[in-house]
Amino acid sequence: MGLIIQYIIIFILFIGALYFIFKPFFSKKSNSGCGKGCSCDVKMDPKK
Amino acid sequence: MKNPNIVLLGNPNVGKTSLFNRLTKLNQKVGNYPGITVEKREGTLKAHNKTYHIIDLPGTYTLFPNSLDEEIVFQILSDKNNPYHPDLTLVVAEPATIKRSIILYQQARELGIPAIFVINMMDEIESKGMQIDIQKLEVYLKTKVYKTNARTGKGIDELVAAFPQSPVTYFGNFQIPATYSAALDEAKRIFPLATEYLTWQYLAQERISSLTAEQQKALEEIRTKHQLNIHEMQKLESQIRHDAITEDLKPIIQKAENKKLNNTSKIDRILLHPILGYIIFFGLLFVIFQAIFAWSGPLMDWIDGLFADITEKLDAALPDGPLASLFIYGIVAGVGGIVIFLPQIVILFLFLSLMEESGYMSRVVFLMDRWLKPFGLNGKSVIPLMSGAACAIPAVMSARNIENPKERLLTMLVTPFMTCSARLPIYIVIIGLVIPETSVLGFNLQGMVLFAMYLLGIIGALGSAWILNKVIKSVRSSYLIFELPTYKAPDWKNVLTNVWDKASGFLWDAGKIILMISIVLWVLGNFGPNDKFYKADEYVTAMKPNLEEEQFDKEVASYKLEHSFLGYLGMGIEPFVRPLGYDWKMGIGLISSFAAREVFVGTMAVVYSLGDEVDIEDDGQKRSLLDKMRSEINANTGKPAYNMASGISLLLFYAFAMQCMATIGVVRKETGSWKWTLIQTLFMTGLAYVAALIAYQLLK
Repeated sequence: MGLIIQYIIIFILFIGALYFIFKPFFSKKSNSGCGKGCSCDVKMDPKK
Repeated sequence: MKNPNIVLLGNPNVGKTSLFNRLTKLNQKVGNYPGITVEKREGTLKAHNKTYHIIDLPGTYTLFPNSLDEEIVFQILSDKNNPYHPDLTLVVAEPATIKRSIILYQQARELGIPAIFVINMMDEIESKGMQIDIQKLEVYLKTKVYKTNARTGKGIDELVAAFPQSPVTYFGNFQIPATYSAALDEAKRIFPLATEYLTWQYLAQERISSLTAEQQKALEEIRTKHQLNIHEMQKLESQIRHDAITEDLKPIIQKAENKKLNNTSKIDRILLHPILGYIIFFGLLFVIFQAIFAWSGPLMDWIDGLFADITEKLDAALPDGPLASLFIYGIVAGVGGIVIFLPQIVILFLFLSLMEESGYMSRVVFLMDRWLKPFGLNGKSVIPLMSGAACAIPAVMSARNIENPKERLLTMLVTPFMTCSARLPIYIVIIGLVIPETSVLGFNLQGMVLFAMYLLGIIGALGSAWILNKVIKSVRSSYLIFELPTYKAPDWKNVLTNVWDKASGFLWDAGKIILMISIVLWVLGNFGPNDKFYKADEYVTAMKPNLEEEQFDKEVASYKLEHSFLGYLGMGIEPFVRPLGYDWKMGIGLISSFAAREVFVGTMAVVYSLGDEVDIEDDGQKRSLLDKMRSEINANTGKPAYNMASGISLLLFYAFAMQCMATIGVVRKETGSWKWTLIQTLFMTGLAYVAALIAYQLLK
């Protein structure tokens, strides 16, 4: 396999991995209700 | 036509999961309810020419939710549009606590749910000194009562034969007091199709997530208008039901001496003894701790060796090139980095399942709760905290046993402070470098500092829990309800199923995140922005023309790492780490050890041109690394890079910083939230930075 193609595949994998790691930060899915795992039942105290 | 849903509803500790395992056999899977980490057990059963979809609901004492788990139960039972809404509910009871189960059964029936009653553990009825008049109970409950023993399979066939039946219409025992009639009538207008009791439940709960915002608002207006207090309503219902059932069951259930309870009391006199109880518990913890460290060692070495073999074979078989290198040293090594934790996870969960199954876990909560409560933690938090001293990954996962969401979250957030085994190589190297090898009061000073680092981990965990407890609050008010179940022999099927669920869940869910971070770090470490990376050998030859081949290779590896993206990132963070007494080389170590703390030692070995395979347990190799590090000069200060000030600063940094992507992956999986994962990472790293900064500035 040519070097260029290998670099392209690695680049795609790298971007894919970054996307997988960071996609939750950019997700527009609503977090209302109980959508936040075991931490659904807790929140930061706004008074603190 | 959709497969009929059969849900198992019941109190904790009634053998519901054993019954589920017996019904579904191996046709089951464990996951989470959509979007949340409440464990969902579902499976299938083929009978009567149908495939039944069996769902094991989380254990609950009442239909008034006090936790996320209980909220799920109410949602499934009350919302006809919920995909898990039952076509038939099996309310599972056990003889000793049958009264509570009957209340749950009545609540379910009054919601309009078709339900039948199952008494599990029927073999224990005699040892518990009870007599139940089944015929009278059937008349009272208006359903057939099925008797099972999920451990032996007795009564299961009769139960399955009942699946096609439709229970008769049920009219409840609970008469809603007349004082609530006006409010109830108004609420009925919003929910014309709901049963009266379901409407009462809507009024008596703070929030029902399956209702629309308008419906919630309308309910709130009715509560305000009629000055309804939801806690009073819930208390009133419990009282009315309890009084009625106590009277009603007198001719149905007779209790004599409970032999099993007597045996349990005898054992509890030892296991809950104010002194002996703690000695036994900490003795058991010691055994678990030893097992995680010692028993898993050979297995971990075997996995390590296996992946080293695979790497070697792939290296020989695949053609040279960057893609093969990524596959072998990024992906395969990443998978190896996940699989290696399996022995520890399996051993820990084997012990935890045995403790849970035998009934001892409830005693642990009882013993430890009073000590951990002031820090916002739970008695069960002691298991994750102690096992965190071996490895934070299985430890964070073991926090699943904590029912209260806030206490579970706090435990997960602070467990990585405990001194895990991965910190040990760093501590050994840094202490060896900066702490003199002398004795103080007859004790080895280096050993004392190492002990202090372990203590610091405990202080860090408890102190952080205390702080976080102040700033995190629970959405719903919570109180601890737990019971001390009778002791029983563990059901091995349940134990093995539980261990398998946890191990496969870790491999798949946390593994994905760890693998992705491995790929990113590999790319950053194996590519660079300029010629200095790609023509490193030419640059090294020009700088040091007379090197022998082996030393030349090590110099090239060091030069390449310096000029990789990772190296430049290390240099990029130098302004931030300079106040801590570190130079850019240590910066590279900090970034690469984000993958795992122990990588720091290997990275520093490459940076100092010693090759990447320094074995810290080999005295000769350790000495050459220490000598090289000792002679290293910090370009910023002109002083030795590793002196007392920078060394202590580095120790404190690694004591507190969240330098472990596998832990991050597991926390993400267990909290179901990147928000809390990020808060934890920033909190720990922030604390590490401040502690290291103060130490360096005071000691320099």
